[in-house]
Amino acid sequence: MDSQTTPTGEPLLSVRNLSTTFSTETGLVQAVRNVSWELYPGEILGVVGESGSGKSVTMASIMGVVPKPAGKVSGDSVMFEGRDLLKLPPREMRKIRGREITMIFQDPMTAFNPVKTIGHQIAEAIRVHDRRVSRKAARARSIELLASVGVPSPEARYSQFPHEYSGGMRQRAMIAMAIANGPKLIIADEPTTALDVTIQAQVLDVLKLIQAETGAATILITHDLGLISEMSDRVLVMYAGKVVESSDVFSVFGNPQHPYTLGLLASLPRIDTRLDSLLSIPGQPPSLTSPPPGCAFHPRCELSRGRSECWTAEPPLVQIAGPTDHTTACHFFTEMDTEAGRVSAMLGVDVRSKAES
Amino acid sequence: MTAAPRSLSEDIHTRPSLGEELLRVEGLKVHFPVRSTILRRQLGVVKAVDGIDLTLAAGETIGLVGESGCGKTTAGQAILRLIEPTAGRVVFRGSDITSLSGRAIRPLRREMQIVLQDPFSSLDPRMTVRSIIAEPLLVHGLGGNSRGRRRRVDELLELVGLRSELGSRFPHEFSGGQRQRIGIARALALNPQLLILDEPISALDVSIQAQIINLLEGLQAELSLAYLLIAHDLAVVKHICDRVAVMYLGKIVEAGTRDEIYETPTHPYTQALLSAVPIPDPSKRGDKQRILLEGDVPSPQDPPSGCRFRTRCWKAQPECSTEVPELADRGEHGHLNACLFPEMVERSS
Repeated sequence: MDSQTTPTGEPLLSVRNLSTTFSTETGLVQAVRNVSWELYPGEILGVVGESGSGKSVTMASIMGVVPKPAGKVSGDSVMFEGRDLLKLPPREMRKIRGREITMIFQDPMTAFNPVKTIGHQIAEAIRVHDRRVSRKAARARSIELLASVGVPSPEARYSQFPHEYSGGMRQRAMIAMAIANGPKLIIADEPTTALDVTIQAQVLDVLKLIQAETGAATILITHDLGLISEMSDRVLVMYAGKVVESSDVFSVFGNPQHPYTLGLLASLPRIDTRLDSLLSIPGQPPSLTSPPPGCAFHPRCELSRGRSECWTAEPPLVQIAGPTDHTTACHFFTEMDTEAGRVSAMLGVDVRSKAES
Repeated sequence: MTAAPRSLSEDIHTRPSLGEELLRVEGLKVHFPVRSTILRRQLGVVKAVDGIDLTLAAGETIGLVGESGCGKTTAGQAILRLIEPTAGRVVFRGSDITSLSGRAIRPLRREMQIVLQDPFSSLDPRMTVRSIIAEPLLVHGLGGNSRGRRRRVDELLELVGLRSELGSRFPHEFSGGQRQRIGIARALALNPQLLILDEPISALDVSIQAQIINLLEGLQAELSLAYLLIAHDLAVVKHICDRVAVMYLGKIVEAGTRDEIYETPTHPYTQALLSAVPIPDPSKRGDKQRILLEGDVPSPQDPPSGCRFRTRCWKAQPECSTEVPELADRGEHGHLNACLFPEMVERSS
């Protein structure tokens, strides 16, 4: 409950009309389609969506690591502390990556180099960005970092290889590496998806601790609504390469304003409450080589009921009147309360979070 | 394993009435030898499954939950004898199937089928969907002539919610959710009484998972199937299962009805596991005490003495390292646990 609901001040990162496409044998894949959003200093922004919703590609585009020439990033701007990351020369971008913006990946086994020790790799990350640091000092700092993320006997662990670490320990080492240079922004892409639930709890604990200590803004990408709800301050819901809803975490879960968000909540088996049945979202996520016209969700939408607006006009992301900064991209969002009532009646439980902010 | 193969009782293919015992597993063990690379000397054993007991009634769903490496998948495969059990008995409708020869067990395979986790690697990419689903019929000589088989495959496709025209396509033309439907249709081809579902939805997208869960629930009601669900997702298990067994390092540490396990867990591991599940409701953030376990799961090749959970348990006592806690009803809890110091914890649900 430590989160402020409406962020104030200058955003740390501001994405304006970003699009990313990939040319493939089967056609042009529109992975990210004209998204705009902000990230404020110190907050945790949860990005939720299914595979193919464009959440990871958005981040790769910001970091400038979209594979070329197949991938093409376009857009107005990605402003990070007064610099437009889209226009920065690769040389400058390299200075930002790994120092000011760092990443934590899903699978630390493939993210680490298997033939170098963990300690060496963390020390390298430090020295790459600051040559004045001696090897000895980098080593000492790495051991300190490993200790701070809860790796036991960090001195001995420093000279071990990635395969000698367990999954949870590797992810801790990954976090240590991500905070090595005092980043302003940490992007965590499915950081605990490969881990067991008890280990996930440990790693999340470390992540929260580190976030509070360093004050770095964090983007948490996941498909797990539970993680989003427990970790983030604000949420972006992505579908078919677009942001379809965004707000503070309490409003998104307490008062979802997009049928897709509500659909996800209604289709989720719960441990904290009992549902009479699950309401599945019919159909499957669309192909991004030829996304459906209009609203990309309309073929699966229960609210649309075949209304022509849904497949002729693309709904813009609009602000909802109210105290919070809540946006949605649905033509008929004013019907969402009634829709939520209908869904609740079918489930026997109101799946919306009780505490509306 | 010296007993002469006995034949299965004739009425094994008649459907049992609901609630009748279908499967009983007693003291099931699966040990894998660990050998050196060159001389093949045996260096040790991995006790993947180390003595588990289970019963399953017709039409019932039991969930086997645990983290990776706890032996839940191995247990499922040993019950089907896809892996030979090292010790213990698997009794299907009164017949001990552990001692049957490969030939003698074949009629029984009709009644026990499996749905695998990965719908991408479990379907032969060079076979059409129709031939994938018809294969069990061919192997068992059922379904009559090719026209009969065709009709049966159409029926099965419809049962799992796929249009029958799709039968002539290949697996790569389908999405993950549709492939899982194909896997389910194949498992149902022989009209089995028991399905072992090994992580049937964990490879699927969130919006597709509910489709498959609903399909499985519908099929169970329609065909009075018994399910053994192997899963790590505690919310899914809670939604589907009547009874639940929690595994840790090859042993069952707690077993009971769904409500007993989820509302009044007594084993510290179960309590920690349940407390670690993130809840998709931000208003409940402060509600629960999260139990953070220390360290990782020990190696099953060299499990801790006594209680296997004691190295990560916050209330371990000296006795825990010497005495092996049996899975038993320790009074007042009404269900089985394997802890010397069980405590009932009320959880809101």
